Amino acid sequence: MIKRLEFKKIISSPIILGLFVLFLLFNCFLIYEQSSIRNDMKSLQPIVKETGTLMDDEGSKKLQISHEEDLNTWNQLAESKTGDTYQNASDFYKPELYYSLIESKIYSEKELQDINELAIKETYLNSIQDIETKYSTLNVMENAEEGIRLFGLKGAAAEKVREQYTVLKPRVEELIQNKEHLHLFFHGKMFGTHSFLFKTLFGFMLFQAMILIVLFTAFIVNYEFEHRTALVTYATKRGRRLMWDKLLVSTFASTLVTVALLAITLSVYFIVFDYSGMWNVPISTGFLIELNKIPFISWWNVTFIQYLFMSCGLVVICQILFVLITFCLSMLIRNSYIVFTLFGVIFLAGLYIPSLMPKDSTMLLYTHFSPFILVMNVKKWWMESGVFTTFKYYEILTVTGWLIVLLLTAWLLIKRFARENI
Amino acid sequence: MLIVEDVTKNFGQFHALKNINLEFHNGVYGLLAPNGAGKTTLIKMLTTLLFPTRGSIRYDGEDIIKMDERYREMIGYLPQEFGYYKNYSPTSYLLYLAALKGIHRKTAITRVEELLKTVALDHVANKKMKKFSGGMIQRVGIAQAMLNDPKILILDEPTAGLDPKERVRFRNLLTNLARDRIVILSTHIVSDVESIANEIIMIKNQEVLYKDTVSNICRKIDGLVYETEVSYEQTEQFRTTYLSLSEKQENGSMYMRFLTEDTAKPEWKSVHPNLEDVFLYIYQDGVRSDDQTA
Repeated sequence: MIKRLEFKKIISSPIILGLFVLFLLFNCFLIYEQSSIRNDMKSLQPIVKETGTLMDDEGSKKLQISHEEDLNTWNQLAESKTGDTYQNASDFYKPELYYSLIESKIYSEKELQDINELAIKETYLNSIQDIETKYSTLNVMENAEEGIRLFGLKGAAAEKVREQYTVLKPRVEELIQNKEHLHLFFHGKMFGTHSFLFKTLFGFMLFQAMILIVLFTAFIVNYEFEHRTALVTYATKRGRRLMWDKLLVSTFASTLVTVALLAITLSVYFIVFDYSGMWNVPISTGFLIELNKIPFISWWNVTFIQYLFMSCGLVVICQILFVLITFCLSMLIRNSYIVFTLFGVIFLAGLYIPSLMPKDSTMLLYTHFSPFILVMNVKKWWMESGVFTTFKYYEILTVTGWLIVLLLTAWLLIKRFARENI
Repeated sequence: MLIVEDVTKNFGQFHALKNINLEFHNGVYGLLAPNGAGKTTLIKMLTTLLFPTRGSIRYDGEDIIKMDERYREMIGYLPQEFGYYKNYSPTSYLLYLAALKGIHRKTAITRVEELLKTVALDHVANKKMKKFSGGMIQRVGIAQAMLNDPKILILDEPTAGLDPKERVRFRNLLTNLARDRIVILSTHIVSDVESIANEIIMIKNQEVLYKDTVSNICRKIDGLVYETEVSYEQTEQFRTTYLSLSEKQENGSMYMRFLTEDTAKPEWKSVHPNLEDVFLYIYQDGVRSDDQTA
């Protein structure tokens, strides 16, 4: 009953509700902005239906045959219309031909759509060889050395990085052996879906949930003090134990808000962008590689759907950490505005502290084990993520460590509050 | 029985209360002292909102801090500044507090209805409190203090904001309640407690000065209180010589009630002291300095 009433305080706050709706609308707007690529993305589904996702020798052969058949069909059409034939679908888009063809309206919309789909199929086909080459020459130790040089790491820090990349090495071999890199997926260089979904959308959702959670946790913990009802409330039977209820309710509400934000935003995303047939593609596929040409090397062989759920789970846990940080601050400072501001300062300090560490100390790496840095790099969760955070259990160690410390701190502060003069 | 034993409360270097020893049985206790004398500190310690620096408070022999929620479920408390949620109705606010007091929802619904009738707020039971007058809010406060039918009812300045009719009704209510519970009523308004308190506790210089019945306390200044008629011209001189307790203009001169230890003059009429006289006598330094400040 008490918990229900505490929860009511959160949901009856117009600021929380208003912001929640505003954030959802903003996310829908982001998806809408990106939606122009949805039709081109859809071209992949028929290919996958025809050939499957694995582009090993057998798969790539099938794709090549399918491409040749489609190109022949197109060439027959082109020959009948303009007398031209094409060696590649991409030749159709050469500027010297393309604009005159479009202006003369020789091809119908449907026919233009067909050649577009064929060109996309061709891109996937051509990428297979590139991906195979990239992975056969992939040397993560070189990447590590490049990172060490780039960030000027020395001594113990550099050694630790090399150690971690040595651990990653067998995983890369395993990945290649499993042919995880050869699974068709929405082309990273064309669509950048991984960055849009896990960097832009997840990034925004993380910050949106964080803002809501910090606001309502500070609001609910200091509610009685700010409304001058603390004397009545804490003299009741429940008394100071009410803080436990507040902590539990904040945690529950944070989970609810985060899940709701994720569920609604992701539902809209997956309604707009059809991922059918792609759910079980390994997240380490080479087709995901984007314009920066950096491969995605996950620590484990996980599929897209598993990766999505693992990331959603980690978002929820990160938000629980933010609840605990805000709760602890609110137990020390009885003003929700100051708590909100201080949280922001701590967040920025968390991002800044690693830069103060000596370049030859492992502390430089360990100071990256913070939820503030963790949430800044959702796109690279559970995978090779640069010299500072490439640890096999980086995400798990960060959240577990912080969870234990923060729970202990919260417990001590509640104990302290039980003997505090009000 | 509630016992306050050798309780001292310090806030840093500031001594709020020193060596307080009190004993409470069923009945009304009036905690009488000027503002800032430590009444609220004592009351907050009785409600476990503050913890004594030294000494202990025991209920039926057990330390109230150790009793924790077993003690708090027996108390009803109205603080001096009664906070409320302006968007709540009295019913929803009282139900919320009932939940915190561990009262089952079904029981609470009936109890809230009953109490709102008692404090004459049943007609606005479901109206938002943001439009309530100070007196109405205070009545909600009184109702919430009685929600759990407390064995110890602690009220800090409960009559603030109440009109004379409401004060009378409130006093009668307390007299009824005090038959089978301890009622501790803190106030600086003498008339609030004079007629209903079984005992008055007066605090001075952070210590308990008196804890006695009204008549016994009044007896402390028996034979020292007089009334006389003074011309307007002599009023100022009179005030500086004697402790003026009350003054009234009548028929072109000033009727003064005053206190003095000097030998009575023939024109002075000796009168029975009341509690207010004692209050003014005891706290005269405070009263005089207040006057000077004003």
